[in-house]
Order: sequence, then C-alpha cells, then structure tokens
Amino acid sequence: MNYLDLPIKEIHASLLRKEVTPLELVREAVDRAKSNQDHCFECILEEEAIAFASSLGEPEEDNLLWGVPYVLKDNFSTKGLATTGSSNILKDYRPLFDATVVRLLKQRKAILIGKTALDELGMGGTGTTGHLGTTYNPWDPKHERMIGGSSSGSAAAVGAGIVPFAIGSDTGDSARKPAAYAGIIGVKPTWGRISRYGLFPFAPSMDAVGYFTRHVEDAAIVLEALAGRDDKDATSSFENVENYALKASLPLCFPRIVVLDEIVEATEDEAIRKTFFEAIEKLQKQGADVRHVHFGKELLEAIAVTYAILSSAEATSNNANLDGVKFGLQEQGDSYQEIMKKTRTEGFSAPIKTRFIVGAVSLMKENREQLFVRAKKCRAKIVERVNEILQDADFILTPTAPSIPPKFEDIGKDVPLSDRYLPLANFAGLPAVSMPLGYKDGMPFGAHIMTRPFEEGNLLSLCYSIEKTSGIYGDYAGKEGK
Amino acid sequence: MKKATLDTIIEAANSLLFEMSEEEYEKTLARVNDYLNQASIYDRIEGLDEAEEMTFPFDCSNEYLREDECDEPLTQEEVLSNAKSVEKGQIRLPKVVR
Repeated sequence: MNYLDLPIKEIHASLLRKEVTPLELVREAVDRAKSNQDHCFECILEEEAIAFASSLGEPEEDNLLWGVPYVLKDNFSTKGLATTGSSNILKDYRPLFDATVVRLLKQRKAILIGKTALDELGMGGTGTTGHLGTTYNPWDPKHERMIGGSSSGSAAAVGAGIVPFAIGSDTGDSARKPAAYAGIIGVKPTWGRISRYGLFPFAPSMDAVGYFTRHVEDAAIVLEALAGRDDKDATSSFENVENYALKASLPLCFPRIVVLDEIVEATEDEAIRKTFFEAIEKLQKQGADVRHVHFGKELLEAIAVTYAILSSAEATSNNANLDGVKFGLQEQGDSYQEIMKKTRTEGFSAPIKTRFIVGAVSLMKENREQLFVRAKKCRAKIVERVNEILQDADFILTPTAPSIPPKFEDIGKDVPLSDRYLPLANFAGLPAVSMPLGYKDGMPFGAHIMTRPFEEGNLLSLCYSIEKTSGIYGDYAGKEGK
Repeated sequence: MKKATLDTIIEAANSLLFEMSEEEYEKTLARVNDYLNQASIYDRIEGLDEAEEMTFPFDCSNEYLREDECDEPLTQEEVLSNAKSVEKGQIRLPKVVR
C-alpha cells in the first residue's frame, strides 16, 4: 500500500489503525526523494526526519497532520538547518529561529523531510535560476519542459508523489504557476492569512505563504493548520480561521462566476480552451451563474511592467542586508566596503542583479515619479477594477497558463497576456488557487480561481466542485495508471 | 521617459554594492529600457495619474501594546554563530581607520 499517495485524512486513519508508522512514511518519502531525478531538493533531511519520526509517541486522533511528511521551500528559516534561498550569498547560513509555519507544523508533528530548490531568493518563474541548477518537471522524463517557479522544488516534489503536501511562497505566481505545470493544487491565500515570519521577504506588499497538495481536502487541512494571527508578523490578520475542511465539503448555492474575456481570448491552445469551457459547462449544470466580463485590456497589459517595477523596488531594499558581514558568504577584502562589494558580486547571480538594478533605477530621484509612483497608482487602478468585478461576482475563473509547461528553449520568447496576469491576485491580496484541469500530450494544465479576501472557505468549496467534475484526484507523475 | 544609459546601470550597480561583467551590464541595460518602453502604457490608462498610490492591498492596522513578557533571549554565541570572523564577542572586520 502506497500510503503517501493517499489524502491526508486517510493517511491519518492508517496511522491511527497502526497500519503504518510515521517512521515508515518518512523512510518511504526519503526513498522517493532520493530516487527522484528532477533536482527538487537543496537538501534531504533524512537523519533529522527519522529522529523526529522516532520521537513521536501515540498517534493524535484530532491532529490530521500527525506523522505526515512534507517538504519546505528553502526560503523559510529553519533553526539550525542550512537555509540558502537557493543563492550562493547565503552559503552556510543557519537561521537562529524557525519560521512560524515551520513552528506550527512542528507543533502538529508533521515531519519535514527536505528543503526544496527555488528560483534564487524567490525571484523567478522558470525553476532554472537556483544556485544548484535547474529543477525539472516530473511529468517530462526527457527534461525538456520547465516546472516553473519560483517554488519549483516544492511543486515538483508533490507533482512527483514524494510527499502529500509542500510549502512554497507566492509573490507574483510562484505557487500557482508551478502548480499548474505540476498538475497539482497550488494555493495562495489572502495576503496576511498565513504568517510570513521567517519567510525571506521578496516584495512584502505582495508576498504570501503558498502551498501545494494533490487533494482539495488536504488544501483545507493545511490552511487550517497554518492560518491565523501571529504577533511576530505585524501584517498577519486577526480574521477568524474557519473550519475550511467543512466549508470545502459544502456545495455552494448558485455561485456567481466571472470569466475574463481577454485572458480566455489570449489562450490559443485548443485543448486547454475546450477543457476550460467544458469545466464551465459542468459548473453551470451544478447551478453556477457564469458571466463573461471585459477587465480592460490596458490594465491587464500593465500588470507585467507594474509587477516588475514594484517587486524589483521592494526586492532591492529587502535584500540590502545580504552583505557578507553578519552571515552567509564572505569574500575577502581590505575594507568592509570591499568585503560587501566582492561578496555581493560573487554571491548574487546575474538575473538577481538585474532585478535589483531595475528596482534601483525605478527608485532613482529622476525616475521615481514616472516609474515607481505611477506603478503604485496603476496597482491601485487594477485593484479597483478587480474589486469592482467581485462586487457582483463570487469568483473569477480563468486558465492558469495558456499552455502546457513550456520547453526550456522557449524561455525569453514573448508570452501572451494569458501568461502574465497572475500577479493580479498579489496586487489585490486576493486568495487564489490553481486547480489541475486536464492533460495534453501527457503534460498537465490548470484553472485559476480568485475570490474576495478571507473567503478561502468558499474558494475551496468551488475547487472541490472542480475536482469532482475534472476527475483529477490525487494524480502525480509516475503514479500507477498515469 | 528618457532611455537609460550604461552609466545609469553602472551607477545603480555601484549603489547596490556589486559589479557585473560588460555583457551583463549591456543585457541589464536592454532589460531596463524594455521596461521603460513598457511603462509608456501608463499614459494610456484613464485616470491613472489621479489615482492614489497603493502600497498595501488593503488596510491592516495593528495598534496594541504587547504584554511585557520576557522571552528566552539568544546567547551571544548564537547571535555570532553565522559570522565568519569573531573576536572577543564581536564581528571582526578590516580596520576602518588606518
């Protein structure tokens, strides 16, 4: 019996019945991790995971995550364990504290088996810029297609069936896009729903803890465990944490769904369009009221450059503390300035330096008004429009990406609007999920759903409906029959 | 908007305390100018310049005084554990005043 393939509730039931032990689950997960060829990991924490699993006593009946293995994107601080952000600049860095999500999962006795690779410091969308090299898509044994990013390793690990859930982060689409490419569920909750204490900041006005599962019910279980106020993160919300698993299981009454015309029009792949419209038809048969809405092409077109300016400006500032003095890589020099300059020259990759320069140029006195300030105003206009739409609708539904996972050789080519609109959810702080929708040529693609802030319960309920109608339930690359 | 020049890129890199290769400076210059071009879309969005700047997606006010509870502090050894060169409880760097 492949217990790791089961939904979390069934794994838990098996643990309660003593059909399997946490140690056995860990050994199985570690074996899968070691035999995986997709470069998911910065490090596999075999010893630590075995020690923790061995220390667990009797299974806890009310704790669904007890004994369940998971993996964590390596931009989350783990006390005493190397945390690199997949960047050379954090060589040998061992945080002195656990991120809040790590602490919460430890309290729940979930078992961390490894830290996953990412695009360097969370900045990227291809899974190719981590300092240990490219992370591959588990659905493509030829290794020609990307997993996306920046949560590349976490998405690949769940997509490859290594663990039932993984933690990532999402600033522009970094959980949702790789989720679609991995054929799994990727959740970006409302901004402030989950504490970001201990998550390396990239663009804090947009950063969110994201995560991956293969079942909607698992997404609800993980959210319940992680959501809530944390005094260590001043932006974390006091909003009530619902019983998301219960809410997800309750059908919605006549949900009002809006489809964005410009995004659908910019999705040319016939297989994706066909499956997307079939999914809509099924939702309509279940009582959903579906309308098509025009968002405003200029606003949608402006998302990419607005995201580039704002995220780069925030990133430049947030990574100024990586200077080779207090922690991480240190190059030698005759002065502290030389140490800093040499360290930052050696420690950051060229793409990261380019992002920082974009940020710095946007913030320069002579450019600030025209670039940075206007970008902030544009964000306001975009958010105003999406909130206007969500006054008369409950959900916005679109294809997550216009294609199956692109090939590496296509990186850098022009992409359509439907491939660069996802930061919309980050601008507005909205909860959003990418759900697996179908397959083409053996590669997955997904649907993207957004709703109003703090309505994750309803969002997961709609996701549950999509899961039932899509017939995709717990799939992963290499699973028997897949 | 005025196009960026190589001097702009080098100035930015210097202010950020890193260097790049000639090729990387040129690639970055192209990227920056690409974004400057794309930013011309702001001229076509009605009402943009009258809009208020958005910094956070929604208000989140936190006004409270936490309880004055003592937590376990880090030891000096822990605090310095990630530094490469430590002496007498301080991080050692090259002399500033020669």
